[in-house]
Formats: sequence, structure tokens, C-alpha cells
Amino acid sequence: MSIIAAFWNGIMSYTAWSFFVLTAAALIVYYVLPRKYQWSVLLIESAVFYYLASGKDLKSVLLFVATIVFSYIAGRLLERKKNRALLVVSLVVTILPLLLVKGNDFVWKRVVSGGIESLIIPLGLSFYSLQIYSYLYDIYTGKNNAQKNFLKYALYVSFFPHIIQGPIPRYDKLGSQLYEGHAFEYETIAKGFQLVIWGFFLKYVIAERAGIIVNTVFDHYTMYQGAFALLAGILYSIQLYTDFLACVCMSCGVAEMFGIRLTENFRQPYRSRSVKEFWRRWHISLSSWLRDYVYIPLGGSRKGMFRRYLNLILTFLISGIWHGNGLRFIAWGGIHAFLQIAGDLLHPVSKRIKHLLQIRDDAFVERQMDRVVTFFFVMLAWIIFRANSLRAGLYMIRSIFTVYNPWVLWDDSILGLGLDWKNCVVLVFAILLLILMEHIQEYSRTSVRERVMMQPLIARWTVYLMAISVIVVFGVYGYGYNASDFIYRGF
Amino acid sequence: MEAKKKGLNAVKIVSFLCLLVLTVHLLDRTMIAKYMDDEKEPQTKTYKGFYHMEKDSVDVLILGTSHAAAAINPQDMYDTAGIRAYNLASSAQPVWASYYWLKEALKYQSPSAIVFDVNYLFRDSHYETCNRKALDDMRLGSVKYAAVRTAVATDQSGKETALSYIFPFFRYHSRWSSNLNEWDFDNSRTEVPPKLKGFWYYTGLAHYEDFTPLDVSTSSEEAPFVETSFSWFEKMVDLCQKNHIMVIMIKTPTHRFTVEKHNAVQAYADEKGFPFYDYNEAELYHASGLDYSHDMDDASLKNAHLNPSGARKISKDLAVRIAENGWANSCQDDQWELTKETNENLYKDFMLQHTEDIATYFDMLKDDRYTVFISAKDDASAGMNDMVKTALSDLGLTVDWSDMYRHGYLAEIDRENVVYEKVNNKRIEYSGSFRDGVMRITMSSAGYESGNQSSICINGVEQSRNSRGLNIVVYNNERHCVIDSVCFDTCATDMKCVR
Repeated sequence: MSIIAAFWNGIMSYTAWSFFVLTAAALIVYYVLPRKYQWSVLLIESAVFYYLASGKDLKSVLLFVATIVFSYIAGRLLERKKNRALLVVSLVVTILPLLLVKGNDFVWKRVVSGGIESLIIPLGLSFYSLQIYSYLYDIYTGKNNAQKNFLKYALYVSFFPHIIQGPIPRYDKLGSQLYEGHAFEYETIAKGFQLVIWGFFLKYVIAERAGIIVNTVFDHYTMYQGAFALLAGILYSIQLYTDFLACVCMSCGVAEMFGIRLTENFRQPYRSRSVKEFWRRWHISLSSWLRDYVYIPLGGSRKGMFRRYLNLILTFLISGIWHGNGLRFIAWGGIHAFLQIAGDLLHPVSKRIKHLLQIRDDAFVERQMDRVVTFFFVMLAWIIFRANSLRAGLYMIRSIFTVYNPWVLWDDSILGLGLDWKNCVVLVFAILLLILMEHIQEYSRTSVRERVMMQPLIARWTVYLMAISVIVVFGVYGYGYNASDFIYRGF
Repeated sequence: MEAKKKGLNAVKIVSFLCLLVLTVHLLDRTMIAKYMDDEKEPQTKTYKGFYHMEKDSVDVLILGTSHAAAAINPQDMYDTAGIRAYNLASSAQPVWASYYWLKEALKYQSPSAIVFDVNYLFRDSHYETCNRKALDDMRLGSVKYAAVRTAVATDQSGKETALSYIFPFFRYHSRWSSNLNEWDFDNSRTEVPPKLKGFWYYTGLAHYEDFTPLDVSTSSEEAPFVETSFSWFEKMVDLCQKNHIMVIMIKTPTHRFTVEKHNAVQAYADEKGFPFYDYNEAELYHASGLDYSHDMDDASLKNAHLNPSGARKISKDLAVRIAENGWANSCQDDQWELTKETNENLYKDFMLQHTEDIATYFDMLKDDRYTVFISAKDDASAGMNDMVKTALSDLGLTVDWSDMYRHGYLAEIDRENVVYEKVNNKRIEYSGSFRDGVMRITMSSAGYESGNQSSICINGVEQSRNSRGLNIVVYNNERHCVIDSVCFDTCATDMKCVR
């Protein structure tokens, strides 16, 4: 009775024990039921998960349900009549709550006196708004048909593995997978389980540990300057990536256990050789959404260089706004647009220089140099993204270039940032393991997961149990540590 | 074929889950905080040991805070009157924890009496550490779950979770970076039958002189009980009455107990027909032979714990009263018979720690439980007399102290065997290991003119007093800890003792 109460009263998240209990129960029922009814299990778990994950906030749940009802009707109408005005109205209504939330601090509170004090913010608003937007738009363009079964449509929007942090799905890729049902496959369960373990490792061994130093420096940026700011910038880049990747791994892992493959969201982004490439590898579902529903409709690269760059700037400014309701997010989007345009404009120059210096573009050193430079610029932009204000972010970046104190990396000063030397060693080793995994993923035809699956049972289980032990012992979680929620959940 | 494959896969998943549970259990067992012999309050031994007692072999259970844990020695009770008692008290044990431990204990034992220290009837506090100390080693079951829920409900911070009590690694997993020690990796040493039956050796000597026993005739006022604590106590009383268990209320000596508190407990005890023994009350205090200036480990504003000398007096007095009133039968039991020597040995450790006479001290070092390290500083020979030289010689040491002015000197005596001894007018250094290679030792000694220093490092921790004369460190190989570090100024004829 009390366990049920604890289950029911807790706030659910992808790392909560109640989530895995719920999922385990759903998995059993899912595979026991005939395939044509399996989707109903997903719908029920999605509903329970959404209700508990939103803290049983009925208002936000109702707003979410209302959005689903509205978009379902809009979709059906758009399918019958491809009316542009209807599309615009549908899209505006769909995106309006998101605009209200994102604009509340930045626009409304500045322009309209006071702004809106008590906004209802449904869980996953940023993600499902874009999901519904693409669904309606694709019906209008004829790419998709509308889902006729309301409950099935509700499942598409609310599918629990992606509702909080994506990846942002497309109906044509996800819809049929949700409804067709799947036979029980041991390999599917095992592969999903691998992703979940990897997600826990990234979240609790790397992201949360890196976050301790990051928080110390960013919260006291006037005290920690120069090399400290650089270190914090690097660690934040790693923290954000591993935190987001962790959530995506858990989402994809859980979905995979049900036989459903979600969209790939990351492809080793910090191995990019240019900022342009970075956006092909980072948060792929969002970048492709922005490409398909913002950049291309604006004209894309079809209307000359000036319009191309203008479209790029607009797209990244929108991306910035999507990420948060502060000036620094818009600045962050602007920086990325600038970096891409600069990279584009300077490309012929750099090509010429390389030619003169006889540097082969595919040379190992050249590849690594490109990666380091790209990472450096992306990292500077992340500092703006993470800082407590735009002013604080600029202050930190300036200090990287103006305060010369590299010795703090060697004189034990960094041990005063919240991690003792043993934790620093664990962090370094964990990051090295991540780099190794990314290297294998990048260059090997066989993924790490498949390699593990090819091993004998004992070897596989040893790997799993060792990984779990490492997470249990070296993870940063529980009372004593203030493990934060997934960072992207806040966007 | 398909069904067979599915069945095999299901078996695989279940097998893996079993291995997973086992792995988590092993991690849990390793990471959980342990309070063993090297600690002042060996809580882990108290509770793990309790489960090793033979079923229905304990007649008296002691419950309460550390005051009770340090005051009532079940072995002394047994030695005095054949009373078979077990002390389940713990640090700042809330009354609800006493209640749940009683409930848990009743699953395994059928006591005829409980002894409850009333300290916390006047307090209600939430210390996470103390709650965990009380609950960590309770076996999983409905009683533990109810106790955990109570602990979490009393937590004002809202940070404690029931899950972290059920699976302690949630709370303790970060111990890997701070204080994992040998107890964590050798389960066989925590899962052993209890030798002291929950009694804690608080081996200090407070020398507190300002204690005046209570004259209860000076006031008839009654201090109020703390409501929550009292309601849990009443539950405990109900449980006892249902199981025909006599409730004996006591208060161990503390300068913080008042006449008003005494009156409140006495009134309640009279109403219920329970005996109440307040060792702060003048008549009982004197009758039991207590001497606050010699029988207390500490006597600060916060605490007041008896040392083994005081505990022996109270335990004997209580045992006699319980036997005389027939609240528990006197009998013989191997579980207590076999631990008499341990108790006496520990008492000897306590005496050693407070011995200031050098000849007596060296005489007491003749014990095969000890490894003794000696390091001289400045000069250790000028004040030596024949009696001390003989005592040192009796330990097996061979140095002639007559021509050693301001020399360095090092010695190691392991379980009554001299394994190293060296004297020199230059600085001397020694390194090695003891306790079957588990413990590392580095020592150095330098006379006044060659460095004037004494060092005795055990596993990297400096233990020497580094004072003039003979610096001595005593390691107990049974308790696995240093039990004394002392210096006798053998340069001066009074051979003053420094601790």
C-alpha cells in the first residue's frame, strides 16, 4: 500500500525508480497482449507518466489534452481541405502557448507591464508544440495523412519516452511503429537496456560530476576567471552534451524495449570540423525541424547569398528563442549564425591558405585542428548559453582572453571547485571512455552495442553488471549530492 | 520451437535480474557505513550481533540513547547475577526507534523485562546520522519499513527518502572517495556473534568535580514530557504489557537531569507500577558506589556518558535488583560465559589508558593482544631508575640505559615478542609492517642533538606524542585500533606521563 503511495506521490522522471517500475509492468503487459492492442498499453503508460511527471498538475494536463484535441481536429480538417488560412490558424494556435512562455520574460515583461505572472506551462511544451506543428504542416503539404483514431493520435503526441526532452519525432517515421505492435525479441530488450545503462552513466558519472565544477565557476564568475572560466566552459560543453545525450539514450532505450526506434538526435557533435557540421550532428531532430519548417519555407538557400544568410540568422534566432526566454539565448543563436556565415565566407580563404601551406584537408593533424577550433567556438557560445546573464557570459569569455593564470590547473586550485582529486580522476577517466566510444561509433561499421551483443553471454553480462556497479558507486546522485534534473527539460 | 526460445529468453532475463539484485546487494553491503571496534560507538556490532543471539536466550533488553549504551554492560550483569541482557541502545535513539527495535527484537527473543533510559522522554530531535545508525542494520521487513517511514516523516528537510533507508547505497555510495576501510571489505568481521552484547566502551575520564546528586525533596514540580516522544513510549509500554514484559525505567547519571524531570518520571512510574531507578538521585547514587569525578567518560554540556568503571557499578546494581525482584531469572548461558574474558580484557584496556605510573604501565603491556611501539625524543635515559629498567627488561627489551644520554631509541614489541630494538646517538628510522602485513609502520627517533624528534606513523597517521622521553603507542590486534598513545618523561626523575 505504502509502496503504491510512494509511487503515486513521487514526481516521475526518466531516472526515477517509479518510472522503471511502470515501464517494466508496461513491458510485460505489452508483450503479453496481441500486437494489434499493444499500442493501448503505450497510451496508458504515456497518460500515467505525463500526469505524474507534471506533478499531477491538472491544469497543465488539461491544456495538453486540449492541444491534442485541437490539433487532432485541425489535422482532420486540413486533410479534407488544404486551406492555407486554416493551416495558419492551426499552426498559430499550436505554437501560441510556446510563444507566450518563451516570450514572457524577454518580450512581455519588458513590453507589456509585468508580463504574465502565473503561466501554465505543460510538461514538454517546447517539444510537442514542434511535433504537432510538423504533423499539421505535413498534412497540408500532403506528406502525411491525418490519423483518424483520436486515441492513436494522442499516443503519437504523448508517447512517454520522448515527451519531456525529445527527440522531436515526425509522424511518418514514428506513427506506424507505434501502432503496428511488435513481437518479443530478447535482443531488442537487451539493446534497449544497453542504451539505458549508457544513459545513466553519462548522466550520473559525467554530467552531474562536471556540473559541480561548472556551477561553482559560473555562480562565482567574478572570482573564477581566466583558466577557471575556460575549464568551466569546456566542462559545461561536456555536461550539457552528456546530460542531453543521457536523456536521449534513456528515451531511445526504453522505446527500443517496446520495439520502437526513435529518431537519432546526436552523431558525435564534438567531432565536427565546422560549426555547420556541428549543427548536422547536434540535436538533429531540432535542427532538421528548423531546416524543414523555418529555413526552407523562408526560402532556404534558393534566393541568393544575402537571403540565404538572412534566413540562416532568422533560423538561429528562432532556435535561440526556443531554447530559453532570455537575451542570452538569442545572443547564443546569433553567435551560431555568425559563426556559420563567417565560416562560409572564410572558407575560400582558408582553402587557399591550406593549399599554399600544402596542408591536406584530410590529414590527421588538420582534422584534429579543425575539431579543436570548432569545439572552442561552440564552447564560447555555450558559455553565453549557461551564464547567469548575457553580461556574465561576456565577462567570462573576456576573462579567458585577458586573465593569464594557467598555473591554477596545476597548483591544486581546481580541487577547490567542489571535486576532490579522486572525483576529478573519475571524471577524466569517464570522459576518456566517452571519447573512446565516440571514436568507435565514428569509425567502426559495427556499433559498440552490436559489438557487445556479439560477445558470449557471460562477457555481456559481466559488462552490464560492471557498468551498473560503476554507476551505483561512482554516480553523483542521492542525498548529499544535489543531482539536477535533465538540463534540456527546462527548455 | 518458438515457445522454447521465448521460455529460454525469459529464463535469461530472470537470471540476469537475480544477478543484478545480488550485485546491488554486495555493493550495498560494502558501501553502508559501519561502526566497529575502532569507533567509540560500535553500532554495527550492536545490531548485527543481536541477530546472532540464540532464539529466546535474552531475558532483558536495554533501550535508549547512548547514555544507556555506555551505562549498562550486559556482561557485568551476567557476571554479577546471571542476568542475560542485551543492550539495543543507540546514539540519540529517538523513542520511536526504541519502540521499533523492541518490536523487531520480539521476533527473535522473549524478554521478561526491558530497561529504558528516560533521557529522550524530554527531548525530540531528528538527527539523520543517528536515525540511520539505528536503522541501517535492522533486517528488512515490515518493522523496518514502518520505522523507515517514521524516520522519513520526521525529517524536516524533505531530503531523506525511504528508498535510501531500504537501499543504503543511495546514501552511502559516495563513501568510496572518503572513508572506506578494512571493515567494508571483510564481511566476515562484521557478521560475528557479539562479545559485548551492545555495550559501548566509552573509555575517557572526565574528572568532572561539580556534580551534586539530586535531592528530590527540594521540589515537587514536574517537568513536561515531550508529547511525541511520550506517545511512542506509551506504544512501547502497550507492546510490553501485551507480551507480559516488565518495564524498568532508569536514568543514568548526568548533571543535566533535574529534580522536576525526576518527579515527572517517578509520578508516571508510580501510576503504572513500574520501577524507576534514577542514578542521579542521592540515595541510589551513593548506594551504587558511583563517583561522578571518576566514573564519567565525558561530562560536557551536551553529553554525559559513563566510562566502564561507572558502567560496572550501575550494571551490577541493576542486575542485583532485577534478580532480587524476579523480573528475570538468573541462569548460565555459554553466550555470556564465553565472553567474560573479552570484557575483562577491554576493562584492562580502559585501565591501561588511564595508568600514569610507568612501571605499572609497562607491566600491563605484557599482553599478547598488543603491538607496542616505543620511540624516544630528546633524552629518555637520565631519569630512569632500576624499577623501570627492570619493567622494560621484563618486556624483553635488552638496551642498557646507563650510557644513553640524548640517544635515539626505537622498539617494537609484537604480541610480547621484541621484533625490533635499536639505540643510537644519531637519528634512527624504521619501517615495516605488523598484523600479518596489513598495517604499515614507520618510526623515527632522534635525541636532542640529532634532530630532537619522535614519530610513530601507523598506516600514514602520526600517533606519537612527540614529547621528551619515551613515546609509546599501543595497538590492539583484536580491536584493530590504537588504544593508547602516551609519553613518559624518563629524562626527569618524576617520569611524568603525558597523554
